[in-house]
Amino acid sequence: MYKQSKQSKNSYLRQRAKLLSSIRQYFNFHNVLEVQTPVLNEYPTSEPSIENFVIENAEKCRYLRTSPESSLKKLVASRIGDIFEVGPVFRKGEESPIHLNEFTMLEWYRLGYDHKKLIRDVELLVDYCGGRFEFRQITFMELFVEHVGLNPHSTSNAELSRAIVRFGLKLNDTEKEDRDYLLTCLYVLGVEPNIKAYGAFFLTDFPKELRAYARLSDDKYCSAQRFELIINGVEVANGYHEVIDPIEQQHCFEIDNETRLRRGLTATKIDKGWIAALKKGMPACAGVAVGLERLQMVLDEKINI
Amino acid sequence: MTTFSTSQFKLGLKILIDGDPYTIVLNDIVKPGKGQAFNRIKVRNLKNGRVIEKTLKSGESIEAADVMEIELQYLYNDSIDWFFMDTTSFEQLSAPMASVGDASKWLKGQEMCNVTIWNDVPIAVVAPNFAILEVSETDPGLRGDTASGGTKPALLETGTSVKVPLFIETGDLLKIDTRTGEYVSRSKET
Repeated sequence: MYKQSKQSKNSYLRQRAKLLSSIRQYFNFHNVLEVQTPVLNEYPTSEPSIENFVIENAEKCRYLRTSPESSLKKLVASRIGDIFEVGPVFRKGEESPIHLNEFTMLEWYRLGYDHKKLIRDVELLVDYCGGRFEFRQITFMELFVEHVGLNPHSTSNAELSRAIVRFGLKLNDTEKEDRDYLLTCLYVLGVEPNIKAYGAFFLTDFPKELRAYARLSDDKYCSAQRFELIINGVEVANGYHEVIDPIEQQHCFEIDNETRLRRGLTATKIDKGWIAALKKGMPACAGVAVGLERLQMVLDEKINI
Repeated sequence: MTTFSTSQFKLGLKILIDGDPYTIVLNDIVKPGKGQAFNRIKVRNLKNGRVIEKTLKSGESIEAADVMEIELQYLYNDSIDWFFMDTTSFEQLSAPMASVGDASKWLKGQEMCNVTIWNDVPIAVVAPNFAILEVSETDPGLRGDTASGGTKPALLETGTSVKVPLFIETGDLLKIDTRTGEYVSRSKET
């Protein structure tokens, strides 16, 4: 929850209740089932840039979830149908006005959808919750070429590194070969300071190194079928056309662990239940996670304008 | 050598960038999508007041600047160095003209100034918000004109020229806002 002054806390909670009610109405109307999954998990996240809070109990470690993704995917694989969950997630690290250690995540999965159809679903939900935005779609490449002057799919690591150094950031030898890191650096240095001017937009067609668990397209750059919703400079949602092939998912986890080791972190144990769920025959689907406090923030701003 | 990690960053922290002392005026965390975190800071150069933006990797450390802000009394200058005194220890410190900067326009002696010290050397001097200074020269006042909005230049005892209302005369004591360099009122006391 955002830190609020006493006077505004009540109105903040009222707006929150209204938002939750709109979300439930929307999904109820579309026959998406609300589920609740465990907050305390056996496996940590494998994602290299996200850190779990660890809870020790009876000689075992348990992890506060950083997202409900693995639990929800296991349910999707069990053929439950379309589902959504709203609940708390926890991420260790520095806090800022838009980064809290505890926040509320809305995550949902739609069977038979791809990322494009899911983008439309996100637009409809935000509209339903009172947003009045003109949504645009902009590819990662368009933003990169405009603000960094380089093609994010084809520019060599050496050239990306030189561009970063020109921005005044120093890189060590390992970082110079870490393409995922180089692209992130240039995004932060060159692109991110300018995104506020774009209003509400979906950032699409990510470079394959930033795929996370999204499928890859068969275009010439094998771009990732991942999107982010960014509203007035704030990243509100992140969605994928989900990987459903267990071998491909296993490969993603292995890449995550390689990245972790390269960055001096420890490898995480791979969630076997997740892979097993995909092996049972995961239906084709797309899924997206929304930071609820951030959504409320951008909706409030819109109302105040 | 003291260093600060980005997690220790807070407003007002004094750090060293490219050999110059800076103070943090804004500290933001940028963490895109699934990517690593960065700190984007705005810092003010304590020597010249310029504000620059800088992006650092979160977790990175940056050298601390040994900076203090203290109240010192201005004594006199020999047109190269300006001399100040700590009124509790009576220790004297000299500051080059470049460090005194705009404060020099308002100092005539005895004022308590906010002095920024870096590695034991004064690098910036801030005059008190208001100075009381005598007019050493101005065109004759227009008798009875206390209301009209016109202004004229007046030379102060420190050699600085300010815009004043037409009724001000040579020998008057003026209260000046040193932050804007503007005339506030006439004053009876020094």
